[in-house]
Amino acid sequence: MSRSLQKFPWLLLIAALFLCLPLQAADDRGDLLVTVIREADETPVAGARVILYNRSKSRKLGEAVTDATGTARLNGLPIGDVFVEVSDEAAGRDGAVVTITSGADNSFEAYLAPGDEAEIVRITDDRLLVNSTDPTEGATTRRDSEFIDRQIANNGSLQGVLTTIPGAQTNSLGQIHVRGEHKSLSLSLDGVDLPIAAESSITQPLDPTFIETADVATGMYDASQGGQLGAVVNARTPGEGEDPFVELIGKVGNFGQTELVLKAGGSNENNTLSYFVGARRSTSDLYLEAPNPNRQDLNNSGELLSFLVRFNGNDERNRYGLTLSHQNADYGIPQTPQNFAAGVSQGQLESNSLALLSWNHELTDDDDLLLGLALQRNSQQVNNNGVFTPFFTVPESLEEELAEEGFPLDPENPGSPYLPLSDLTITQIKPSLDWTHRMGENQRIKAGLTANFISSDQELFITDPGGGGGLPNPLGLAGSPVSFASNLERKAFTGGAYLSHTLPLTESLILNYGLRADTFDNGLNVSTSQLSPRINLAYAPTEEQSLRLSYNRLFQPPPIEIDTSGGTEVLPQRTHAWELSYENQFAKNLVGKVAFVYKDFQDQIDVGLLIPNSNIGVFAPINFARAEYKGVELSLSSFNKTGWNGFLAATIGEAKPTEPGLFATHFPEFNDHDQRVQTTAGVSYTWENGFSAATDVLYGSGFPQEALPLYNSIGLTPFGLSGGRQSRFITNLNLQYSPNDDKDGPSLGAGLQVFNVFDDRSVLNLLSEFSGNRFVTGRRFLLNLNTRF
Amino acid sequence: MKRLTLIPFLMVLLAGCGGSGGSSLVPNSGGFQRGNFITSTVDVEQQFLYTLNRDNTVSASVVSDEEEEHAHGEHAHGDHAHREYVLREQAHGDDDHDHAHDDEEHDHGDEDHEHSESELLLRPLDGSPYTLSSTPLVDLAVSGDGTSLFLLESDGGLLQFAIDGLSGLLTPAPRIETNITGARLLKVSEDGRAVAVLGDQLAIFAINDDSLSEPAVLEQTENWSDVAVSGTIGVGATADGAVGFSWSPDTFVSLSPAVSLPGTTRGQVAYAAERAYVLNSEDNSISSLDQERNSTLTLAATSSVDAALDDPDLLVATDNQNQLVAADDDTVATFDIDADILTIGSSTEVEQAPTRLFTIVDTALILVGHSVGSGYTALTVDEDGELEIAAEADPDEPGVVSFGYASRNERVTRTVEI
Repeated sequence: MSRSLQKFPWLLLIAALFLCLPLQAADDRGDLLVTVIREADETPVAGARVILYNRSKSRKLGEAVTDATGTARLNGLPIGDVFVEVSDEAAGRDGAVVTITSGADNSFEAYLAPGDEAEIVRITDDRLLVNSTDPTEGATTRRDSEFIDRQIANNGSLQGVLTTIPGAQTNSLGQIHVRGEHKSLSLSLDGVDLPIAAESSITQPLDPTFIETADVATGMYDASQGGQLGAVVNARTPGEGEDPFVELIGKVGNFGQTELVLKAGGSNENNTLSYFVGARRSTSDLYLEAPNPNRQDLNNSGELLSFLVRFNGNDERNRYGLTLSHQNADYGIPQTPQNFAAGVSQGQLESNSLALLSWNHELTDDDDLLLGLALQRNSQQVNNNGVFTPFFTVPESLEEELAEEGFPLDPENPGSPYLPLSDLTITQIKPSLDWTHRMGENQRIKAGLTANFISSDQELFITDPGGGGGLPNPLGLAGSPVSFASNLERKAFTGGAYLSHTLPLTESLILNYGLRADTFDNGLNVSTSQLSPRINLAYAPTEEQSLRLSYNRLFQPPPIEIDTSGGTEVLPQRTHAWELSYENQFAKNLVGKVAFVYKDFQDQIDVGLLIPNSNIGVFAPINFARAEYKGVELSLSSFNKTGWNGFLAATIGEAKPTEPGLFATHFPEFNDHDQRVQTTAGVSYTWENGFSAATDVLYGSGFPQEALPLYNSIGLTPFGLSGGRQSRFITNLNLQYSPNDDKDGPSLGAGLQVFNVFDDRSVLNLLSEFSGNRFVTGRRFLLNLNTRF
Repeated sequence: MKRLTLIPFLMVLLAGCGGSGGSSLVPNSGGFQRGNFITSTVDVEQQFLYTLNRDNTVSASVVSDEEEEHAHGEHAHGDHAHREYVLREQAHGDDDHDHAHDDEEHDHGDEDHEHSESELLLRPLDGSPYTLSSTPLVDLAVSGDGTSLFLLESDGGLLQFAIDGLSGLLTPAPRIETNITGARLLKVSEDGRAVAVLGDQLAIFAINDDSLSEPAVLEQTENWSDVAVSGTIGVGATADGAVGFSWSPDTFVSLSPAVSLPGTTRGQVAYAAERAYVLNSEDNSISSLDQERNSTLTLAATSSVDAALDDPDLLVATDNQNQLVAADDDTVATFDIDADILTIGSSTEVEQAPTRLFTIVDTALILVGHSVGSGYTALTVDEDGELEIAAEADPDEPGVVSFGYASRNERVTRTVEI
């Protein structure tokens, strides 16, 4: 019996329960409370018929009848937009598009007046976009398929999508920094939180190409939310409530870019069974940001294959889900011209496999039991061809600090002294159980248990024939390490239990409070736990405005991977997070939000290269004893189906460690040193015929790696860089023609995406311990043809 | 459902589309080991200083820099035998010890980069000092590769010890009877691959890993004051002057014609800058001699040192071979080698009469052993090129007869199971 189970016998009970049940469940849905009022005298209408359709109104999703108080409740609705139609023979008709958010009551007040269908259709694009009474919605941003497909060009990567989220900043290797955290990202598919992603992984368990709607939460979590809480991406795939469709997309561009995508999905006539199948293969000769701005395609080709299969079924009181996902990436680690000419070739293989079962059972009209079981396997291998080049460190006599940190004498040509071999496999089994009890409008209790059984097998063998001097030395041997080998097979465990209560103090003041207990055992030498109170408060002066205040105590288990010292002692991150935000839908389909965030980290988990100053994509966690983050975020989004749209996500943040950690003997002034200011923005115009034109920009600014001023002090300006603030301005274009989905028969579309129009190849991280030496990828274009039938 | 049948076909098509991707490299070494472990392999640079003390013991210390002093500081407390020594030296940037007194060099660049004060910490090994022989010991030397320590007994016995590259501890090898009478001097050749025993005869042994070859022997060296060996040739200092010789392992020593030098007494001999230097004690001078490959010596020049020294008898070359260090009864002086001319660098007085000079590899430190008193004195050259005392002789330590220094670079692999 594992140590984890011995310590937590109650887990056996839970595990046994899961083994007895074929499926498991999740909270991916939202509830809709419709209040029907007669417009003439503002009295409630009993017996009115409420019909729920998908947004295009091609499918009926549900139906209810109002009670004596004029209200009707529809629970378990998919997040995203739905069309609500209310009718009463005597009182009249009303209808609207309503945006459903997860885990809360979404309200719609229908005012009935005599009218015809045409009037209802006219108002479908005028909707309430703020759930002002939900205290946990303040830090959530929705990105739907229309935004992903039409508004931004870089829509094939999760990085590209998340870049548009306020507070989220991306680095050069696809890893997300959210509000001062590093790669602390959770994916939630149809409400089930997926297990922890591998630290060194560049790909994600879920291909964003297959996402229909993504709600990205960066804070204000209720007690049900545990795990990696930098950001939680609650994703939904297409298919449910849609007519069967097949979509094929082919793309081709410069630098060896190709992409072939298949999507197929739909529901049966009565919506009791839906499916989605997705497959994608993409290639590029600029797979990763390169270490040289002018020669970016040296050993930089890569290929990604991804598959996703989903089935959902439901009956009167049950909803079932099965998801199978697999991604496989094979790519080179880009080289400098000198190392490439010397024959250095290193590569990386990654695969992510996911199986997710869910079962949602309605115990009573007010009680839901949600069970989920996720099985995830991540693997990553790094290989080399045995060729290395020598590495010359800055001599101590030239610059003592650079010498001490082992920086290269020639920063533009640092040599490739290491021969890395690694093989990492992390297998996780994550059952979860959630119970929701509703007690009237905006009041509910949630309780649940979650467990994650983690099996980690990490093998490393890295030699240093070129004299790089950066290998870890966890055994503290005197001298210079020349090789490092390890094999760590760990059975780790993390689990939690929670109780959360959402309580309306007044009609416009809603409190959510809860307590969460988490425990973590890394299978070797770290075992700890925490009680985490959560308080979230929403004040809604009007239904379009919400002022929210939040305090979250967070507990984040570290990745079960070797740490930067070559050891195994990374501690869980413990965070006090405060947030104040104001959200306002101040115009039709236009929402703005401003947020102030402060985080106080204990044992902050940062991410660094296992081999500093190298180009090897083996990442490892590191603890800083204390750190803090201060940030101001501003966001704007519009949600017009046609015509002008735009978005803005601006973040001014400061993330800095303040105390070293157990083995982090030094720490940088800022641990997201090149990301102090980031703004993304875009405008688009969509015509009725399905043509859309969009441009989006990213502006990033911050201080470079601290090595740069030191290089400058000895007269070196690699690539002409100074130690002052660096900025970059990336502009993308996205032209698409995609005929409306509701047209009969096959449709043919086309598009052009241009990335980095002005070919800005600024430095992202010069010789950073986080991502080595990386520059923005240069200008690329991608043509696409697509057909849907 | 007809559409659904297309899906598996298209998925297979997508998956099977060509392209080699970024890499499909074959690992360049064998498979991974199993088990739960961490293995580190490190190259360890260790330096050890050995001294032969007048109480017939041998002291051994590991040499580290100041940072390591703190790491191992707990070893410094308590036991008197474990006293730590700090030797301050003026380290010269860019490994340019050879420019330590080059005024022109001093004029360039940032002086902070040229000179910086550093400290060497001498931490005694466990159990040091050691009693390694009951017979009086007369000299100590360490092989060039730092793997063997030699001790010369007064009766001509030669003790060889293997030096552990990590700990510096000594493991004895069988004693060698050299049959040298009047044994008084032990010298390791310039290339570090031979060891010479000087007494009434001269015996030269080639060092073969952990053993010695049969000696090449030269008779009648009673009046030699010193000997130096460089490869298969050497120089002996005699009452009349200097004599070159060549030798072959296991066989013989042949002499070349002697060269007369001023005065009637000689001090020590040293090789430096491809020349041999002989100290003419009575004449207060140093002669430089060119030596051919057949060992024939030719006098190049003789430079007076009487401005600094009086009747000197000790002579060594600095590690960078650009200077000579000589000493008389109360003064140590340095001399810059400039073609045929020796010019005095600087000098300093020492409290106790020197009996041995020793330079430490890769440093500017000069250690001075004394005929009376205790411990040894450490000298270094300051930023102005002046000799200064880095550490006085420690009155609590036994007097030092001779020195040996082992610089080792070991590859160590250690595995810890978790």
